[in-house]
Amino acid sequence: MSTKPITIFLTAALLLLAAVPVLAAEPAQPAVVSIQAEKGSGQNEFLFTAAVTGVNPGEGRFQVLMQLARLNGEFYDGDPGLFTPLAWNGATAAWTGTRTIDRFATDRTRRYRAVIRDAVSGATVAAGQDQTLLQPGKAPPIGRQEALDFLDKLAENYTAKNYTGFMKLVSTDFAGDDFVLSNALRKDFQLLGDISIRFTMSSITANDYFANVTAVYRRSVTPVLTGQRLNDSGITELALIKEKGQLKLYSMKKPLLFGLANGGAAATGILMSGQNQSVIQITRAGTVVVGPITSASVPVRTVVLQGYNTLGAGDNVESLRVSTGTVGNNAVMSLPSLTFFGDLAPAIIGWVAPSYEVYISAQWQLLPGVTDINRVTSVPAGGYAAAISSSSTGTGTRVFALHLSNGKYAVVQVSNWVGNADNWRATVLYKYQSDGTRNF
Amino acid sequence: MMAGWDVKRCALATVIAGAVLLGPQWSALAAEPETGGETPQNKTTQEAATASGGEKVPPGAQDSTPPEKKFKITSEYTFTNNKVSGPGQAASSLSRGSHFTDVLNFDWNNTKDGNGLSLTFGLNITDDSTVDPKRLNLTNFALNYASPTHNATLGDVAASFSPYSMSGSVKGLSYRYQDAEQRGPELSLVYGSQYARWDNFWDNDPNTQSTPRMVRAARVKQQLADGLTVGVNYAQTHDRWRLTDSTTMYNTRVWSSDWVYKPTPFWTHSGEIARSALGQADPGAGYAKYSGSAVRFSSVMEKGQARFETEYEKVTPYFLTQAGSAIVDKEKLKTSWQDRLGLGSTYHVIAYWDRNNLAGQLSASDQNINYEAGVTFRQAFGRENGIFDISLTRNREHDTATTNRMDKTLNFNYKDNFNGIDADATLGYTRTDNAGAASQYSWTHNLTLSGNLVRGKTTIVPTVTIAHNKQAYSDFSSRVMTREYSLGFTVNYADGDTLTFAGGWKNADYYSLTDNSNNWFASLNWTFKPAFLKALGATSMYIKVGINDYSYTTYSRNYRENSIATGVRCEF
Repeated sequence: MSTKPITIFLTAALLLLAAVPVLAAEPAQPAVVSIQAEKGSGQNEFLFTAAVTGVNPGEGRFQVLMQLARLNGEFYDGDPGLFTPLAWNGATAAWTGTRTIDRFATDRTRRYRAVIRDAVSGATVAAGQDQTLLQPGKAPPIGRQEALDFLDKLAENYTAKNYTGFMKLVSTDFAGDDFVLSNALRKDFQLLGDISIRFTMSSITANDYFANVTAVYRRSVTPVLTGQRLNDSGITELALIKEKGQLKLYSMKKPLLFGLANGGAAATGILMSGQNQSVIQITRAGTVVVGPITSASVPVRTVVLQGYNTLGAGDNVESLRVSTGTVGNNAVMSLPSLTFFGDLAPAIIGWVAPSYEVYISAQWQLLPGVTDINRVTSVPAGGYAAAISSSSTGTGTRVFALHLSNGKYAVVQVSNWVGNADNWRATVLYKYQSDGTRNF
Repeated sequence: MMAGWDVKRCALATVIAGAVLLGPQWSALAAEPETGGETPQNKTTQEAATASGGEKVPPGAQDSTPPEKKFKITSEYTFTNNKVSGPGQAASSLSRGSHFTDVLNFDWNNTKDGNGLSLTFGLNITDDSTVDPKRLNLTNFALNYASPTHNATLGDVAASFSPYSMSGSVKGLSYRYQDAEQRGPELSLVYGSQYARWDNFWDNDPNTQSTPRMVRAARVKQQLADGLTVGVNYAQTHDRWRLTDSTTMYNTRVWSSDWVYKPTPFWTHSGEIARSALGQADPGAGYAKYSGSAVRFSSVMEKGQARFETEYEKVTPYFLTQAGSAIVDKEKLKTSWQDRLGLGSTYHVIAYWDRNNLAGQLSASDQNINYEAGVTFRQAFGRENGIFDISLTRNREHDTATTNRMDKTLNFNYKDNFNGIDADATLGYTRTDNAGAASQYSWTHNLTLSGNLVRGKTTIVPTVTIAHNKQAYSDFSSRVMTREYSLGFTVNYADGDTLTFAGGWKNADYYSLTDNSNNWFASLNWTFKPAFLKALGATSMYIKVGINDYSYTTYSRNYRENSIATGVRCEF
C-alpha cells in the first residue's frame, strides 16, 4: 500500500480528535420537559412538540435529544434510512416555552413512545406521565406515483445539469458511494452538452421504506466534443430508500441512467436484458461511446508457466484449465499450457533465448505494438489466423487476441520468458469475455 | 410545425378513451367509498396522542381499531402525438404518430384490530413500443397479510436485508416474524425469482426477457444490547437457464453479518462482513468455482450541523453477490467532515481513496485519490439573503502502468435576492491533465434570474437563464463553446392549476469541427382540474405542447420535433 491512504487515515484521525471537543456537550441542566404528539400530514407521521419550563436565564445551556423508544423501554435504533434520532440542540440562551422538534415517519409494525433524554448523559428528562404512547397507522408502501415523481425530479435535475439539486436526492448510504456518483455527475455535465431522458416505470416493488424500480427509458445526448447526437434505449433498475420521510436514490444498476462517467463506477449491478442492446456509456478516459454493457469489467488473471509441468494437468486456474497436451506438429511434445474451453492457448515452448515460440490452437492474431493486456478494450472482428496453422516466434512481451471455437474472445499476454528449450519460465496474463462480445 | 394539429380532437379522444376505459361501472366495484381526511385509524391515534398529554392511555387500548375496508382504482391515461420532420429525423428518439398509454392501479385492503389483508396490482396498457414493448403489462402484484407479529407477502417483495446479502426485489414469497414486545429476534424469509417483469414468467420475448435467477434468502436480526443490533443473513441465487447462448450462468451463496451500534445518541457505527461462494458456467465450458469476501465499516458522529464520517470497504476480486450490491475488486477509505463556521456558515472536507487489483491479478493497478473542500457563507457580503458557496475538488487517477490523470475543479456559486428578483449565479473551472497528452480546460458560467409576482390569488414566476460553457485542449486540437439562453414563466392559480412556458435557444460552436449546431425549443404545459370530467372521477388533467428544432451546418442532419400530449388522472 502506498503512503497516500495512510496520510488520509491520519488526517481522518486528526479530524476525529478535533471533533471530540466540538461534539462534547455541556453538562445537563435540570429542567421540566413535557411532550405532546399529534398526527402529521402523512399517514404514519407524527409531530412532536417539546415544552420546556424551569430554565432560567443565565443557567447555561440546555440540550436534549428526542428519541423513540420501544414499549419495553429499549431505545429504538432504527433501520438505516428509516429513522434517525432527532437532535435539538436547545437554546444557547435560556428559554421557557414550546418548540417543535420535527416530524418523522415510523415503522408501522412497531409501537413507540416518545421520550426526551439528555443528549450527554442519556438520562430520561421527561417524567413518566409525559411519555406519549403511540400506535402508528398502517404505513403504505412507497407508491407508484410517489416513486415516479421522485424519478421525474432526478431526471429534471440531471437534464438541467443541476448538480446540487440532484445530489440532494441521493442517499448518503448510496451503494456505489455518493462521492463517486458526485464526481461522475460533474463529468457527465461537462462532457454531455444536451441531455434528454424519457422513461416509464414498468415495475415497482416496494415496502414502506424501500423500493426497487424497473424503468424503460429513451435517451438522447450530445457529446460536446463531437456534436453528434446519440440515442439509446433500454431497461434498468434503481433502488430508492426513505430517509427521514423523504425518498432518496439508494443504488443504480447498469445500464446507468445517471452518472455515466468514470466507466460507470457508480453502478452496483447489471440488469442484463434479452437483447443487451447498445447503450450510451462514458469511459474512464472521458470518451462517450455506444455499445452493449458487459457483465463486468473482465478481470485479468495471471498464471506462471514453467517447463516442464510445475503445474499439474487438470489443475484449476480460474475459469481456465492448466493441462498438458500435444501441440501442433510437435507430435510428442508435452507442455504446460492453458486451455480455453477446448482450445489450447497458448502453449509455450522454449527456443533460443531471447526468442520463444507460442503455439495457439484457437484462431489467433498478434496485436502489433501492444505490450499491456490492460490496454486492450476490444479485439478485432476479423484477421485471425487459422488454429495451429502457424506458431508465433518472437521476443519480449507479446499480446494475442483469440477467437475461440466456442465463439468467444480472449486476450493473452506472454511475458517474462526466460530460459531455454529445456528449462524456461514465463508469465501468462489472460482475460476471457464470456458474454460473446469483443469488448473487454 | 403545429399546422394540422387539432388540439380539440386530441382532447376529445382523451375524453372518449377515458370514458371507455374508466367507465362508471368501476365505481360500483368499490366496497366502500374512501372517507378521506380523518380515518378511523388516524382518529384513534390522535386521541391516544392527545390523551397522553395529561391522561395516561392504557397500554393496548389503541389495538382495538374499528374495521376498515378500502378499494381504490387509479388511472393515468395519456395520449401523445409526435411528428418528426427533416432530413436528419432518424436522430430523434420520439415515437412517431399517435399513441396512448394507460396506467391502472388497483388497491384493496381490509384491516381490523391491527390485522390487515391487502391486494394491489397494476397494469400498463399502451400501443407505444417505446413506452413498453408489450401492449399489456402487469407492472406489479402483491397480496399481503400483516399483523403485529406476522407479515407475509405473495407477489412483489422488496427485500432490503443488508447491502452485501440482499437488497432488491423478488417476485415470490416473503415472511417476517417479530414478537409483539419486540424483544425476540426478527426473522425474515424470502423466496422467488429476480425477474424484472411479471411477463418474464410466461413470455420468452428477448425484448423483455431478463435473467431467470431464483433467490432464497433469510435474515435474523436481534437487538443484543441497548443501541446494538446485529443481523445474520444468507442469500442464495441460482440461474435456471441461459438468457442467451453466450450468457454465463451463476450460482452464488453469500453469508453475511451486519450490525449497527450506537454507543451514544450522536455516534453510530455500522458495518458488514460477508463471504461468497460462486459457481460459474460459461457456454461450452466446465464449472469453475470462486470464493471471495467483503467487509465494510462506517462511523458517523452527527450533532447539529456537525457531522464526521469515516468509511472503509474492501471487496475482493472474486466476491460476487447477485441479490445484493457491491463493487468488486475495490478497497476504499473515505472520510468527510462538516461543521458550522461562524454564524450560519458551514464548511465541509471530503477525502477519498480507492484501489483495485487486490489479489494481484492485474498487471497494473488503479488508484483514485480525491479531495473536496467547500465553504458556504450565509449573509455573504453583508446581504441578508446572500449565500456564497466555494468548492474545490481534486481527483487524481493513478494507473501503475502508464496513465495518470488529474482533474481539478473550482466552483463558485452565489445566490441572492435583489428587490424581489432571485439570482443564482455559478462560475466553474475544471482542468484535466492527462499524462502524455494535452490538458483539457472547461469553463462554465450560469446565471438564473427569477421573480415572484403576486396578483390576487395568482402567482407568476418568470425565469431567465443564461448558460455558457467552453471546453478546449491545450494543444488547440479541439475547442467548443456552448451557449443556452432561455426564458419562461410559471403561473400558479389559486385553485391549484398551473401553466408553464419555457422557450429558448441552444448553440454549439466548434473551432475544430465544421458542424455547428443550433437548437430552438419551446414548451407549454397546462395542468388543471377538469370540472367537466368530475363525474368520471378525474382529479387532474394536463396538456403539453413542445417544439424542438435542430439545425446543423450539415443540412442533412437537420430535423424538427413537434409533440403534443394530454393526460387525465382519475380515482375511484
